[in-house]
Amino acid sequence: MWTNGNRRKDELDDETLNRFSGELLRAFETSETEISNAAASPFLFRRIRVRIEAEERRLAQQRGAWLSLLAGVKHAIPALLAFAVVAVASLMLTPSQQAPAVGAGNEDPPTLMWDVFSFSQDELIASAAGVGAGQPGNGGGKK
Amino acid sequence: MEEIKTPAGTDAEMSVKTPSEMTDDELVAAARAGDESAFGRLFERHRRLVSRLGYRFFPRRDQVEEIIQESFIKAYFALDDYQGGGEKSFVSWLARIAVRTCYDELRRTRRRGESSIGDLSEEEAAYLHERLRDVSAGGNVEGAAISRDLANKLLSRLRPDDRMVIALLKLEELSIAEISNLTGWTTAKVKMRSHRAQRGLRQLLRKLL
Repeated sequence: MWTNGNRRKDELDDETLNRFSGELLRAFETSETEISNAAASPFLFRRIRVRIEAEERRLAQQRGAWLSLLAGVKHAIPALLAFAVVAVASLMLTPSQQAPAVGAGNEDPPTLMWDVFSFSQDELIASAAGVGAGQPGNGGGKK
Repeated sequence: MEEIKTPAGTDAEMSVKTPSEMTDDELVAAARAGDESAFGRLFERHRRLVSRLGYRFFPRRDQVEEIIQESFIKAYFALDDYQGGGEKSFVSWLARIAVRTCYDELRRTRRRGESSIGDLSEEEAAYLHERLRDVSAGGNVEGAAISRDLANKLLSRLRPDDRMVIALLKLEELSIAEISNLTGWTTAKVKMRSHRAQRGLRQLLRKLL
């Protein structure tokens, strides 16, 4: 019973509060004169035009900045092309210049052979004769 | 050489008609083509609509004027997106822009913390209390209006989307579907916001008692 009574009171309160909030909202009702006055405010359209023009100028400046950036890039194209040609040329030339060096590195053992081949013919004959006379090989010596 | 064909009669009609006879869609087409006076004509025609919508959310004239300016500037830069079509098409399109502008401004105002309930003076609180007693006693509900500033302070406690829905529902007397169309929210969301706003207002008023 108490609960029901309380609930009814709450419901009534809600109803009252709803009515009051409705009144609150109605306080926002504006007269037609006020609406018209705000709409017909002097220079309102002029102010809109000024702001539109300002915004258009800003957009144009933005576009201009992009265009000048693009123009800068356009001017840089020959320089970039020249740089690219130099880079490609140096890439193509680099292997042919370095080949001997690489080859020399690989030819380390042949360098030793060069030392061998740098003996004269007489020295070679002499060393071969020496081996044959004084320094017998295995199995070929006197016992 | 092949001739470029234009839609039959369009140019002729536009040249014969005076600006006041032109439809909104024709004026939009002219404004797109760079005719400033056409946009001016659209402004003349529909500024009251935007002003009325602005007053649903803002109490001061300077705020409403700002809403009018902002809405028409947005409309100008969005003219290319306007699809056209129905008779009321431009009005609906412009109303959507205006409502969106009001919503953005409500959010900005709330972020800045303007017009909070904390600003309520003792006199205002006493006045509010008195008014509420009159209402509960079944007094003259339609009598003297609460000052708009006071109402604004109370309503600004609501979330902007709740306030938006309740104002369109109770003041503009739009249907849920119309609000949904205007705000771009689903009908379920609009209903939920409406319930939440009404509950929020009740809680707010209870707190003040």
